[in-house]
Amino acid sequence: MLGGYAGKMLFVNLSTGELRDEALTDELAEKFIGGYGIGAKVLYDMMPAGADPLGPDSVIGFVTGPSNGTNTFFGGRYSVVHKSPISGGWNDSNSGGYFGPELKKAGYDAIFVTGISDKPVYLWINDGKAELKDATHLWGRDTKQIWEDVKEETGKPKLRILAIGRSGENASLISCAINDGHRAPGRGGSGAVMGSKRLKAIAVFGTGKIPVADPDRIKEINKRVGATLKGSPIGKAFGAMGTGSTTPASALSGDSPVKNWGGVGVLDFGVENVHKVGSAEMDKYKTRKYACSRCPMGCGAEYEVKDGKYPIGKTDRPEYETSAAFGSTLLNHDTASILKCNEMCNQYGLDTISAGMTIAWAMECYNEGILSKEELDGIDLQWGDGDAIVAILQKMCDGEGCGAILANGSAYAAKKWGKGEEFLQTACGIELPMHDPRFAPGLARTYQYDPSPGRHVKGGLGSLQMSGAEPKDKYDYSGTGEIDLQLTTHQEVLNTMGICMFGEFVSPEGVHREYIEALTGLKFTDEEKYVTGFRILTMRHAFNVREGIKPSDTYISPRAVGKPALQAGPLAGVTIDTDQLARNFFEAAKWDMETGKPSKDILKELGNLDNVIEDLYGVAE
Amino acid sequence: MKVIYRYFGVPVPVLTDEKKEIEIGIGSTIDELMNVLCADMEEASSEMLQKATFLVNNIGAKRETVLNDNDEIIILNPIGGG
Repeated sequence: MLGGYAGKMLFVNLSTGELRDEALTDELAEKFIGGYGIGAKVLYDMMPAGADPLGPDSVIGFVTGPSNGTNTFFGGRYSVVHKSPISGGWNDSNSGGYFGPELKKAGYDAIFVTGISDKPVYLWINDGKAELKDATHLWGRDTKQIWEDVKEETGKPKLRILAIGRSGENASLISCAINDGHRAPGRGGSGAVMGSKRLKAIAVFGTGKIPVADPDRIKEINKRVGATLKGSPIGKAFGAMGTGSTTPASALSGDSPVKNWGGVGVLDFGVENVHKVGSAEMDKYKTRKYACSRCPMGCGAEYEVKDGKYPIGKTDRPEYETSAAFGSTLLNHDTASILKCNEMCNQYGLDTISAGMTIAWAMECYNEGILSKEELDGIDLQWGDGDAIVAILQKMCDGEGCGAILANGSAYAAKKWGKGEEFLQTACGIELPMHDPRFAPGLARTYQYDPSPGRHVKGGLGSLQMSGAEPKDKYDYSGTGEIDLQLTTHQEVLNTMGICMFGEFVSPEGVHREYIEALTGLKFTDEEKYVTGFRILTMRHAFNVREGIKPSDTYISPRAVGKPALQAGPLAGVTIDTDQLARNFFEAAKWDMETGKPSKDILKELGNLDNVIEDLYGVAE
Repeated sequence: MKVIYRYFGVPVPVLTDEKKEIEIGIGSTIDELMNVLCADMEEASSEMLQKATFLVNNIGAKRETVLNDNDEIIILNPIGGG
């Protein structure tokens, strides 16, 4: 087996109770790396096209990368993969913490779960031994309580857990799994998929060591990364104050959406209010700093809120996405309510981005007279009212009254109520994340056309523009395809390795290619990196093409791309030519803009996609 | 002439979110203002600020934008992520 891998995958059928180990082949590892790369290949092969995401044929995967569980800096992230019950297409989401590395140490690179259990269960993996255990008594537990309960009943106080809360149990479409009590593979409905299978949790404990090809080289690369991190202002900022260190700046620059994407930070949210959504203000509750596995930066922090209107006790520093979703997007600068919402989402297992954005949709509908107070169960959902936001979120968490509708996301709610579609801010039904394409126009292509729509962690041209780097005028849409594709394939490699994207911000160029070589023992040139990233991207894309999703079936809400353009503020007058950005990208990738099909030539060139060729072109190669 | 500036973003020496006044030459651009503000800054910070964006009186501006007396400049340096 290549270095960097445990060498084994676990397949679980919850309908039959069967647990089966399968060797991870060198070919699968080399060609698809890990995370959602291996995940896409396995799900494509296992899942029939058209399968109900919440039905027995649906497969959900939990997949580590080669960096997880090794000495590699920033190597703490794993992926959750499944078909999204929201978009009806491919979905991957990744998360940090310690769950991924622990799974590797427990003996598995990946777990794939299919079927539906007839009673609530959890999967317990104890140093290579996997078993399904009854979770009837744990159904209803929040994601923090269950960690303590399972530690006690297994007698393993150091185990790590990924679990759903009540939102996942209720199959809320915007629910997610939570690992380590506060880290979330948040997007696309993983909680609903787990809940539909009655899979309450996966608990893992391991003492194994992951063999790597060249441990000394990893140490040497770590040393270089550590040196650049030390001199990096971004590294210092994130290390001291986390991703919330620049939330105020984002609210003013146009990076963060404001007032359900219809407002302007400097005018509607106010320069004097922005500090209330940032870590500089919130860190008064900080009790200690923490980091994900093998992270030398440590952007996390534990808080304790002892008093005030929401004395939630021990909690965690909200991420940027969360503070923006419950802050500027709702014109809310009530810090206490943002902390409360963050904790509620963690405990119940709700995606903070989708939850905040769904409330933003309901808030605009209410303020425009489209939704009545009665429809919102008597909640006066005025812009910026932190207490009303907490109240409506509690309804969503409990799945009661209007909350039973809103807990399925804004697109579902608009359809269910039959109104308010004009205020939706989604890509293919998934609420948009907290980086505005009008500020970084490349994001428009990524949000609409990435196989996992509405993601800010998929690289591409937008990722470059988001951090202020502008190789040319960012509103010049000509010739963007090659660089967009290059940057996307680069991120595919990083994500599937299990490396945190913040590591990229503070590392010398090219080290992640070197890490792969040191981990696996394979030669991994820039060309191989490009081809591998491109293959993974194409595999994910092919999943959607096989589902019958064409480019013309995808969409992004018009307001987010400047239709109509804002009339004031730093982004006034900006309208994005998303069609041109997409045409450029599809042309560079040799994907057909009408059918979505990757050309037969590019599928052959990338290799290891023979079954895709057969499915899309009807010819075995 | 006198302009007012404040900064939001990745913490750097000297610049903060408090309003400050500075005297600069008539007809100065934002780029010239930034050169003054970054003069004594460590290289990593001043290099990072090359990617900053700007508002002048709440309207988006570029480095070459010419400043006027009493303009209020907001210097922004967010990092996308989280």
